Amino acid sequence: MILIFGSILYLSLKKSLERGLDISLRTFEEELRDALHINPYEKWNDVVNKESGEEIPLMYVQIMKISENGNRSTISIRSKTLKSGYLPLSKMAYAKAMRDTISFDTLRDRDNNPLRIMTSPIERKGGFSFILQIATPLKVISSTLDKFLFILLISGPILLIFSAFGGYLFVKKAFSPVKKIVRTAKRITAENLSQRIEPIDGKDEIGELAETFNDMISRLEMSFKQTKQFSSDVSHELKTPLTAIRGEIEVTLRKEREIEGYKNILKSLLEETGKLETIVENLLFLSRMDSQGIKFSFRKFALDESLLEVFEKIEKIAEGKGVHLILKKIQEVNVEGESNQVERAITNLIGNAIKYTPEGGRIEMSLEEERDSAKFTIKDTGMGIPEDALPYIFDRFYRVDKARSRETGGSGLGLAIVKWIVEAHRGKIEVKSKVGEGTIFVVFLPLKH
Amino acid sequence: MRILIIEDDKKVAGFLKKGLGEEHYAVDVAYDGEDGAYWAQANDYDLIILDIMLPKKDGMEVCKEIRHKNIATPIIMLTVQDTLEDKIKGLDEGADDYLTKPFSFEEVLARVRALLRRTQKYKTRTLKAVDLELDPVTRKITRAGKKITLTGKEYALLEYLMRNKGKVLTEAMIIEHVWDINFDSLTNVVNVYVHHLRQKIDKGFEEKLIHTVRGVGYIMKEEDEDI
Repeated sequence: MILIFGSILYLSLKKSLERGLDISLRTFEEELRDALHINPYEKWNDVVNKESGEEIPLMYVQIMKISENGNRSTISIRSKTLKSGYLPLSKMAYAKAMRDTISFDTLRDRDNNPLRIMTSPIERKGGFSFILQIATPLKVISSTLDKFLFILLISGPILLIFSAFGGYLFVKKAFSPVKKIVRTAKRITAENLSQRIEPIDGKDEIGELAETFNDMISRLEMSFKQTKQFSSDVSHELKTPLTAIRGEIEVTLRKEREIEGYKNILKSLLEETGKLETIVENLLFLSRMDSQGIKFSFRKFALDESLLEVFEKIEKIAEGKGVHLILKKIQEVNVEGESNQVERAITNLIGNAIKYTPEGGRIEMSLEEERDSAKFTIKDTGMGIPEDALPYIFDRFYRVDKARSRETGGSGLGLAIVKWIVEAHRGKIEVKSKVGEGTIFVVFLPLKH
Repeated sequence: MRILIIEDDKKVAGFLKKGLGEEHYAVDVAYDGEDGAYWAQANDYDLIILDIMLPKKDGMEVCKEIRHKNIATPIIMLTVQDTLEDKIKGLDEGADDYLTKPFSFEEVLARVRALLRRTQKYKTRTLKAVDLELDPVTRKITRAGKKITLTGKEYALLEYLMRNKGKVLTEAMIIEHVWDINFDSLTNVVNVYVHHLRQKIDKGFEEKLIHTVRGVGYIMKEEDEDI
């Protein structure tokens, strides 16, 4: 860049110096021509020496006489300034002069010094044509140019160093936030997502970038935490029954037992296997939904019939526990979706209510139209859910009371599945609860007419 | 030797209690962290088996609390994930050992024995007093090479006496370490068992090993030992 700039500067300076030189050549030529014009040929030599002797810069003058037929030229007058030398005449300048035009040339003399030469014709006098050549050594401008070039060559690298350093400082300052972002990004791994980029002053693009970055890390951290929690929950849920199964078998085998002892252990093992089965089944269901989404075949079906079907299946369990299962107002409503899945959700909800309602309690259900939705309500007189636990009850493996729900055989996934199914049917689920009084779940599913 | 199990899963706690009980350990069970921390401080246990995931108060916290109260009882932690992080955290909080679920019951027994051995003077496998030998692994007892058969409680009492050889043990201490929490301590059961034990261990031998310290309790010591 500096090189190009320097070259342009150098060339334009050279050009303007040359032009200046040409102008002084021309001015001198006009003076000389006038002087020659008023003097006869015999006096020309004196005129030339007089004019050229006073001139600054140094001027060389040479007048050539052209023969009559125009193909030979001889030097007739030379200024004293030329000493023993003479001025070269290029063919081009000669040709131009013969056609009555002025030309400028840069040529070298015998000593190889560059000269700026102006060549112009002079009108015939006494049957002769003359060519007037005025020259000035280019040394003047070449020394100026050399000085300039020298300055340029010295100042160029200095300028280069300064501008590079300045640029470096500027870029460094401008990009230091970016560097910070990069450094933070490098430190971030799956195990270490607590890192944040320090907030950057100013509302510029980089500040915004840092903020966006921090938001992204937060979201990643959250999702990693959830995944970690989930896998730790899964292993806990699976490994606890496995531990019980293995331990019970090992302890039993250490000694000879009564038949009754073996029977009890086998019963207990069956229970644990049942628990494992439920958990594995639910986990598979959820992971299938997560990975590809279950492809529901959306078909219109009667929700009231599904509800009654579940009711008939589950009534016995409620009876066995001494809980009253009561159907209140049941309207005929049609919804769209997969009846199997909706029935699974309803089963989970009723099953949950039975689990957490003590003997003698009541579970009331109703189904009705409300605006564009089918509204299914299930209300129990169970133990209720504490307010601080309500936001989490649809989370996988979340348990309000760990010990109790483990005993009742919950997998910790039932409500998560319910929520998923309801939302996959473009519905929503709401919950209200009061500890000691009971819980109400309300499910809305879009109506299909 | 008395063991406290703090584990919320009834079945896991159940087989541990049953299995350890059949190995003549006195076993108590707490089903949540709060109860566990309470019992660990209320009774003098020889060993605690502590689950990490517990309702009310998690295992790490229980461990911290117990150690904070200067209770040095060895603790075996039960974990589900065998991540290094968990192990380090557990050991740093004051646990002595850990077991990853699902574990083998034989391993539980081996670890229990290893931890109990740490509290005794000589780290040998067998416990010795003159010519009386007790092997906690095979539960074989010999005196002068002659095999002696004991009932479960007699064995537990002898093991406790031998592990504390040279120390005077009060009746209360014996009850605490040999019987579990459901035992009614008003009876003179210690007296009775010590009598049974003497019949089997000391009778017919020149050197008596079990001595009565009048008004205080009992001691197992060798003749040349001074206390």
